[in-house]
Amino acid sequence: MWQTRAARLAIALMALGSTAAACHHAGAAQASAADPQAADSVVGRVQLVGVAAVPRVALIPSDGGRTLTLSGPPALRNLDGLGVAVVGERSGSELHVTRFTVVAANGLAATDGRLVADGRTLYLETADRVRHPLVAPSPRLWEHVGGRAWVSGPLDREPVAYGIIE
Amino acid sequence: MPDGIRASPLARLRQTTRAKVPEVLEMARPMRSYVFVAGLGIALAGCGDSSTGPTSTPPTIALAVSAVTFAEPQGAPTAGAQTVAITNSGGAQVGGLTAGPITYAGASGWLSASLDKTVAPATLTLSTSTSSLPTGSYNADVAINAVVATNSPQHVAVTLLVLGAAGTTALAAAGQSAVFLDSPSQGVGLALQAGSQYLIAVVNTDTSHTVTEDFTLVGGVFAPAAARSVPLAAVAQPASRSASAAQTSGASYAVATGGLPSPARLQQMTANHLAMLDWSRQIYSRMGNARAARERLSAVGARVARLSAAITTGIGSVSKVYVKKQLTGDCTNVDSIGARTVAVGQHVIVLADTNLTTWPQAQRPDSSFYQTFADEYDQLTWPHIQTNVGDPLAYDASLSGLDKVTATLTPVLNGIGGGIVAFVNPCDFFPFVSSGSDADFSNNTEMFYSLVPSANGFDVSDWEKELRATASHETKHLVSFTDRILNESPVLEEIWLEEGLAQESSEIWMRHFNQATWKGKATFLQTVACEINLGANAPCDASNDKPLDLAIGHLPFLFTYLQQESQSNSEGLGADTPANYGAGWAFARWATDQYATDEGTFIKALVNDPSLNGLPNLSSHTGQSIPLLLMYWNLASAIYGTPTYTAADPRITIPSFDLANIFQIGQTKLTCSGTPCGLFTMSGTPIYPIQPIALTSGSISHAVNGVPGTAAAFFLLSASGDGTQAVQLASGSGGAISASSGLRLGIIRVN
Repeated sequence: MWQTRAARLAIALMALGSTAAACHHAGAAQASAADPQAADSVVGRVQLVGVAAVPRVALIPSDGGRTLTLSGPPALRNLDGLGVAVVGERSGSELHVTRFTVVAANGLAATDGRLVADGRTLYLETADRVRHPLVAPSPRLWEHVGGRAWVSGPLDREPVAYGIIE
Repeated sequence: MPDGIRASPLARLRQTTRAKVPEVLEMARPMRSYVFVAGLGIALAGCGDSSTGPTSTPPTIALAVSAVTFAEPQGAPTAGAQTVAITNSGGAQVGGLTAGPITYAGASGWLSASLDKTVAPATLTLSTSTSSLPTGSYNADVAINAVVATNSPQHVAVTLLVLGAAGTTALAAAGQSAVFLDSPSQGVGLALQAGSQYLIAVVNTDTSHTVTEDFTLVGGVFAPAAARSVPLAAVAQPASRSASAAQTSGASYAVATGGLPSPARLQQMTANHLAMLDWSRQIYSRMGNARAARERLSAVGARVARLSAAITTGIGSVSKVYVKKQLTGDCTNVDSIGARTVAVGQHVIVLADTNLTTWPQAQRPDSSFYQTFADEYDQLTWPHIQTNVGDPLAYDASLSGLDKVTATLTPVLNGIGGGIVAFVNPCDFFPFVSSGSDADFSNNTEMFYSLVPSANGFDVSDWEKELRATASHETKHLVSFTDRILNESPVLEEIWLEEGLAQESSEIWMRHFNQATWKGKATFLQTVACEINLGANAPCDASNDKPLDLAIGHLPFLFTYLQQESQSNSEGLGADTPANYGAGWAFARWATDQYATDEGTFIKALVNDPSLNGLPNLSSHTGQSIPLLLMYWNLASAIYGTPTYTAADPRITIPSFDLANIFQIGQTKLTCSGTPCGLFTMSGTPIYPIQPIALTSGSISHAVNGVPGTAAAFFLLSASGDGTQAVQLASGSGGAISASSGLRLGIIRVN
């Protein structure tokens, strides 16, 4: 179930990200926005293939395609087991990731954003700059204000699960 | 985190209550003070001597309990009534008592409160209506007011648990257990007996350690009078334990000094090994299947190595061998060494680095060791691998064709990241290509590499012992590569299971030297004492010549994993080195014990699966769901004491090992230079790795944050009396838990 929803969400988020990026890098970003597939976007499940010394991950595409080895942001290593949408440059079975979004965790849709505190309210600010107030956020999320995290489940309810990306 | 951001449900409710009735409280208190002080002043004036006059204690509301918990199965018409006695703990009289308002957190209207009198002593009667409520936990606060009391209002916190379909579970005897896998909101009513104890595991069945969840364990007793909240010490040990012979005899075992590297260094070496394994997976994933790579290179006319051995089998001859020199980089990131053939067996070739500067003669074994090692490989390791793991040479015709595994001993590994015990290099399975994007300095054969003795690592004697067991571990990795290549699998095994099964390989191999048997509940004296000479009290390794394996790898890492899981919620399969080497092994061992009819057949099937890895692989070959596997594995590995019971369900045990015995003796019975020392922590504490959170029957509300997927949080519930204890999961903030949560409850009666 989540794959379909996640794929739609991923494409939407990628389009948003590309639109924002277009202000600065119009050519490449427009190509992404027009055709995410051509921009090497893949939705799949991450499997950790690196530890601290080897910050790389593998991606099992949701469409059953060939396993990819991801390179790029060190934060990729914190996505083990998660459903993600990635954008980057593909070369053979390698994909150099320029952007990624967590879209699912254990079969449940997830929201990826940055933790922002305002008084006693903790927000998850998504890539579109929308601040979503978190309902009864975990103390562990409060410990990472300013960091990037994901939460799963509807945003108007207490998160089902969560994780720190960076 | 700002103060009070996430107070307990009851505390938050009280904050809410105060916020809603500030006018009454803030006006009433000054007024009472004024009246009281004025009256006192008049009295004092009349006496004329303030120092000897009579004193008056103000009236004060006293509640028999400040928290009440109701628990009822879903759909029950009412949860019955509970009462709270209200008295005056001060002077004069508490009159004008009122109950209310009732403030709800979430769903409302399910609680009613009434007083039998307006003057203390009085009785507050609370009753609930649960018929329309879904399963979950509900909270409310009842204010008790009396204008004349100095401490008005007081509050009674009310928790209502609406239990799921599980109903009441009577774990009538120690060793019985129950798990609730269908839903996170399945509550359970435990039919308690005074003095009984229950280990409660809250398992996060999410499949990745990166998926963390919070929860609150809530509960209450059905019998109203027993409802109470009792804070206990954070660490609990069982009230009584059965005693093994070693315990009762008071035997202790002296650990010889010197020899082994420090635990920290061993851990670093193991971490490096894991990093190398990760790198191997990357190479496989990046380069694709070795068969396909060979065909691809042939098609484009690249230089492909001849299908003949670069390694020579003549004793004394020197071969050129490429040895990976860093944890990162590609297949050209190697040192080229001269490696002398020092032993040749039927199934193995042993090569020793010729560099006497980096591997001086003083750190080399007697030359006879090499052939002894090769002979042991032929006689024990090879048949063991064939029987229990698979064929490491099944792809040999496409590689060197030597029909032998090669063991290369080189100090290059001593210098990788502070030392790496051993590894298999996946580049060796791909064709030799000297340049270009596919460049690969492949040795083109099934080879594993080992470090060598050194002044700051293993001495020669312990290195020899370690290498013997390591061969069975590393050869398992060779089988994995071979099988995945021949199966054209899309990806290698998950690290924790790859390492776990390699650990299982060497663990089984060690049965040639220790006294363990499959499902034989091996003790400390049958395992650790067979690897470390502990003197006359532990004669298994009297000659001090048996291989080293469980004592320096499996068991310390498992102890660390469980300790960290229990104390900091920082573990989970695949999370770190202890998770991969300790928990990965114990989980694989548990699954083999529970579901294999033949160890070798089961392990081979896992290793040789064409497409699955990790938990799906285990699930497929056990025929069990992943949540069930994780639940029972977590219950079985909850080593918090020495069990005094016999498990009714064998799935809550690890039949091959008596881990409680191993941990207990390893932590309490060893001496180092005459001083007590622990095998798993230097201090010898904790004795057992799991430290469950202590609870006493009654009202329970205990929040736990950040339980990683695949791991668990543990509680030890002690019954203070008979009755029915409701236990249920709520969300981190105490509200109803999401139906999508991966958290599940499991309970063992342990006493």
